[in-house]
Amino acid sequence: MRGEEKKREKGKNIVKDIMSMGADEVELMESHTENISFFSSKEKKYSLYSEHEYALRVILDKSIGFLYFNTPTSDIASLAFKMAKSAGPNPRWKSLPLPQKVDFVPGLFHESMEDIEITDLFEGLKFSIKEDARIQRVESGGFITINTRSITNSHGLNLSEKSSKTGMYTSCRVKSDQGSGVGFKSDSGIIYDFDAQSLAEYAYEEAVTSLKKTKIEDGETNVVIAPVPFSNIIVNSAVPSFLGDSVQEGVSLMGNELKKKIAPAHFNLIEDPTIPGRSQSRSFDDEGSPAQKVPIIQKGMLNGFLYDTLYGNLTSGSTGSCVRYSKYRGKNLRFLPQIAATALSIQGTSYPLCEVLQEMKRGVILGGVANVHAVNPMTGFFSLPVTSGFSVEHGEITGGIKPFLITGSSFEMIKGISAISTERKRTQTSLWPTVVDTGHIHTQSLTCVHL
Amino acid sequence: MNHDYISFLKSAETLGASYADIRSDKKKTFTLTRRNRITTHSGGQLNEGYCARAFREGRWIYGVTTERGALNRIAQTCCSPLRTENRENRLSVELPAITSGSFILPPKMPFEDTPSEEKISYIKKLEDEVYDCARTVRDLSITLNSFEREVEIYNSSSERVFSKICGIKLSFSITCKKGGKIERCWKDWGGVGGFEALQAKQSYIEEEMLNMTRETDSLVTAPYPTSGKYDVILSPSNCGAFFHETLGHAAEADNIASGRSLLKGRMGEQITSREVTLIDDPTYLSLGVRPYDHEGMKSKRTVIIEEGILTSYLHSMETAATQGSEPTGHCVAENYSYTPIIRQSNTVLSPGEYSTEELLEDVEHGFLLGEISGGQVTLSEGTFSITSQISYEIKKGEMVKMLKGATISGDIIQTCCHIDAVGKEVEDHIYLCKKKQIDSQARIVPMIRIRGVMLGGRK
Repeated sequence: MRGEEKKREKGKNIVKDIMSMGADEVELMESHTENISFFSSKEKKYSLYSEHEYALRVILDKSIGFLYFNTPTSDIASLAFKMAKSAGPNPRWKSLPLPQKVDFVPGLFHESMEDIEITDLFEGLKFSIKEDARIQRVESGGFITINTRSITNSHGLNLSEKSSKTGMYTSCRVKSDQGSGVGFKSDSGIIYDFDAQSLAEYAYEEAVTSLKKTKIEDGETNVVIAPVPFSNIIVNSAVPSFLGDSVQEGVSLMGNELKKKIAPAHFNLIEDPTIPGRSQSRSFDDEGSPAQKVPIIQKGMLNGFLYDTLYGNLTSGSTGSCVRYSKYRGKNLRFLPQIAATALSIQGTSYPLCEVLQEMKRGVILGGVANVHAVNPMTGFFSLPVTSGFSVEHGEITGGIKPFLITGSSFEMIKGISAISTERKRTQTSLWPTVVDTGHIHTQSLTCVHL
Repeated sequence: MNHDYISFLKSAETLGASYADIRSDKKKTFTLTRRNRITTHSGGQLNEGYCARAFREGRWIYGVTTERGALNRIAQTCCSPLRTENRENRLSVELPAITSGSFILPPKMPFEDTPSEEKISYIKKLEDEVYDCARTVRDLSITLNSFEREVEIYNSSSERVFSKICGIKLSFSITCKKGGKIERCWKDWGGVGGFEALQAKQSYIEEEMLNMTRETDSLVTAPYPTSGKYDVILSPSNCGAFFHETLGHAAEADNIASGRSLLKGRMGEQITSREVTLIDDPTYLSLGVRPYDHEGMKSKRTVIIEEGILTSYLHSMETAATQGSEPTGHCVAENYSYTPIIRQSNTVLSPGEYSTEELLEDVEHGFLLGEISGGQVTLSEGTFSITSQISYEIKKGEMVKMLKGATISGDIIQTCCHIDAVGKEVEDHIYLCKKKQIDSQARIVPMIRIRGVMLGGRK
């Protein structure tokens, strides 16, 4: 801990040095991460990771300079100042956040995470699946991350928060003369207490169920979308239109829809990073603004957008939604903070999944899609290959479906949502730093095309 | 050699590692972004750290740190025995040897030293041309991004490999809006070296940027293509992504070892039509250049498919040893904080004999897919999908209509066997690959024609 305190002291000195060079404002964010990743299949692997990172924002005559570094050398202050000097003024710039009251979210860190040995992790990963000659490969793994992030700026803002995050997954691949099937199941939280046996059993059952594949009928179809593909589709194709920078730059299709009905009356889309004990929660955003619950869609009505300080100053202020991340990487300090959703929740009329399927009667379940990074983030249009699909007849799953394409518009898909299953899952999406909490979604107006 | 490195390598050896190495990795990047005529920021990244590996009793163990003094602690943790280890699954191979060497590719006009006024006026000139070209431009973003990377590898055989490479990239993103309709297109250009790499391509970049502006303007009101099975011509940027995503990833030997790849056990077999000769070339001077990989192995130009026949996989030290092949030097890490994995470098497709007109003339009803949007494969299923930002309908050998982007998808081998023509005009495009880690490479490829592909449009 002493080492970390020393590093923070060095960071504060850098802020002072830059201010003494003539900067108008300076902000320093620091992050210390300890991570163990582990993997088990025919062989076992693990990797250790220890990283201390810094990111500076320097403001000089409304010009914004940015510098990421992980070794605080003597020339850092002058280089960061040079960055601000070399950028032109941004007329929208007003100020870095001023110190505000922050209500700290409880339960974001669990001490047990600091004492876990590598051997305990592999012990926790043990499971047994029944003997089955069709099994080609079973893989499992997980991670533990402990992170402390701190933010300080020249207005006296000084905040720090420690969190832990852990996860586990199992995938199973089976093959028979009927074809091949893949199953996958994961879980995450802040404590390493997963049920490896049930994850493995689920992955195995899903793989076996998808073995016998039939061809899908082309055309508009009733669809139930599982939480993982739905989260990825919605975050990549619809959520960009709810971000304040898109709205203010005039490139959001939702920019003129505020207070208008854009979804069924039972549907809510809520950003809430303030729920205690959740790994995606936080007390303040990555420029120090207090985290807030933001109902984006409430009772089918577009209620609001997400903002950081820069774009929030053009409207009613920041919603505490400024995040340091890069696409495909999730959260990291290497880029300027940007507006993003991090903790979305999809809510609406809910039934158990079996009743959702009964209501659907005949249709398909989308278990997985690929190529979500190629959806259109502006129009919401997508045409995606389905990597895992199941047919439903008379409300019952009857088997897997051969690869097919699903096409549609995310905004039309939202309008067509009739129910959400009560069995929910939190999904870390693949491109954005966004976790989505949702059940299976029953919707219409999507088109299937067999390959 | 630094005493921390010696200490790590000695500790690893004492604790039973048969091989160990340290990668000292320094990567600097500088960025200047303008959006809608405002310089949003000037930024930099200084990534500096160490990735240490030990190969002990047939198992790799890795450690990453930003502090050199922590290397010895990593050695102690890495090499302590695991109660859970399964002795039956150990690799009993001798890793191929690396030999010392170095490669330095200095920039003529380092981005960092180029005055900011010059960089900003360079972007402003491009902006002016774009705004003059279309009145519907709603959002325009141009980013200059440069990098300089020094990688130094020391191993337990006292070999040292050093490389220093610089590169530059120009990213362009344009959004046009008419009424309530909107469309966005984007593209990157780049190369190795400093600012001179962009200046050398200046007129080409300007021409492509203005073409894309006109296309985006028209795309806003363009209809969607109709789903169905069609003959398809892939533009060079789509063609590059197609081969990289399909046969390129399938030829990566880690995918062969895990049993995921459809190319496993098919060496010497006819995989594609005879029109296809596919090469991975890390010696080609573009963003994917790497004379040495990040294990210190010399990287080799590798012919993956020769006239349709599978001839080689792409290897790391470990897969070359376990699969009894020659190492190809394809094990790469994004920066210090990642362990190296098998990656493709520059994708090269040998040109054929067809002009663009000849590729088109045999298509009764089909589509030409323009600039790439994204692609992905499901190797275990042997399927792929590639999405374009724009497409053109072809009728009776003529491009008759511009349409919004489309997705093609299908079985990889079947589709590759349906390639019946390869263009003769080769283009060089930059592309990002996201196989767990992000890497930029070049695709040096012509157009191709594929018969009977499933295309996903609106209905």
